Amino acid sequence: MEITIKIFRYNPEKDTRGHYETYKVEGHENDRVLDVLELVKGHEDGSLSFRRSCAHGVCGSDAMRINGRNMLACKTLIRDVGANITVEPLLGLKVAKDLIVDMDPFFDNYKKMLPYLINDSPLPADGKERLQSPAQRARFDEATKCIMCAACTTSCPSFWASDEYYGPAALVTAHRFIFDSRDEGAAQRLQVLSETNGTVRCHTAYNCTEACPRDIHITQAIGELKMAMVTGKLD
Amino acid sequence: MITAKRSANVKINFEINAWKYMRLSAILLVPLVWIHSIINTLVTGPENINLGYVAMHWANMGWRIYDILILAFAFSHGVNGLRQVLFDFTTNTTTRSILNLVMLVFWLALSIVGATAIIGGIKN
Repeated sequence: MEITIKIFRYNPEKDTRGHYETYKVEGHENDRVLDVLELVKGHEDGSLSFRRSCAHGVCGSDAMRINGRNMLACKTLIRDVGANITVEPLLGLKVAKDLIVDMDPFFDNYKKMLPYLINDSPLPADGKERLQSPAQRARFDEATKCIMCAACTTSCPSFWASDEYYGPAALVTAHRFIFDSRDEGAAQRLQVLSETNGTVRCHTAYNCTEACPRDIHITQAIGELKMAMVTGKLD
Repeated sequence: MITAKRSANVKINFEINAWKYMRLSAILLVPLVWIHSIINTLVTGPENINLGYVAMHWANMGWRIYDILILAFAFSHGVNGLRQVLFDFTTNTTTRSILNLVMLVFWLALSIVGATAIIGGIKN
């Protein structure tokens, strides 16, 4: 089948602003959008730039706007989006080249969540693991599925307005540690979240939940953070 | 294994209080606005609402308190919502402080005008 793909192009060394270019390639309905991009890069225009790594929905490198929705190019089949495709870079982050965006503001916000286990208490008597029950693990299990692809954060209207807002992905990271029974840094993180650029900037638009390629219930997770912030309860 | 209930002591700041107030005022607004709308649109009818009706309505102290409650919760709820939208588009701390002050003055001024009208009532 013939696939028509319209791609946002921007070369900072030549262009003053972005433009679209359309390519026609032969493909199959079971191909992924990433395969089509590879066909374009390999056979039509080698200068096309986009991020990719594992190509199996695990690394989160190839999040982009496909027909107006944030998706992973490696998890999106042609048969699900049709033979006429428009591919654009993620919104809310500066375009570096073609489909590649500058992820610095995204990771700056991630770092503000103190994304590591905080526990200064002495180790258990056996000097080994800090154990937790299956129920305690399940409390934050969903948040551990995040692959930091930024599909959620760049679908958020509050983040489009300002990248100072921590954004859904950073909040999911905070959730992952705050509700971990082994962690003792919840108060520090909740204090960060209670600031003006924290959870109050979430207006429950649900775009993040819809965009997440890992099906994380992000808006619900943010709601749980808001409740923890107000009540101080972490169970 | 730690099995005790976990909790965190979070220092309450203005934003947390504003967030809580939005929820509380929204809950209170549901019955207040519903009763207000039902009485004015279904029971009285918009065509019958005139100065005389308002004068009669406010002759009752209970309705005056009721209307002041709507004014207090609806307007403050709305102004705080507007503040949140404006904050989405501003990142500078000084700009945000100025916006807070402007919103406070705006809310106070219109609330005083509204409350004065309700308390003063309509003199025939």
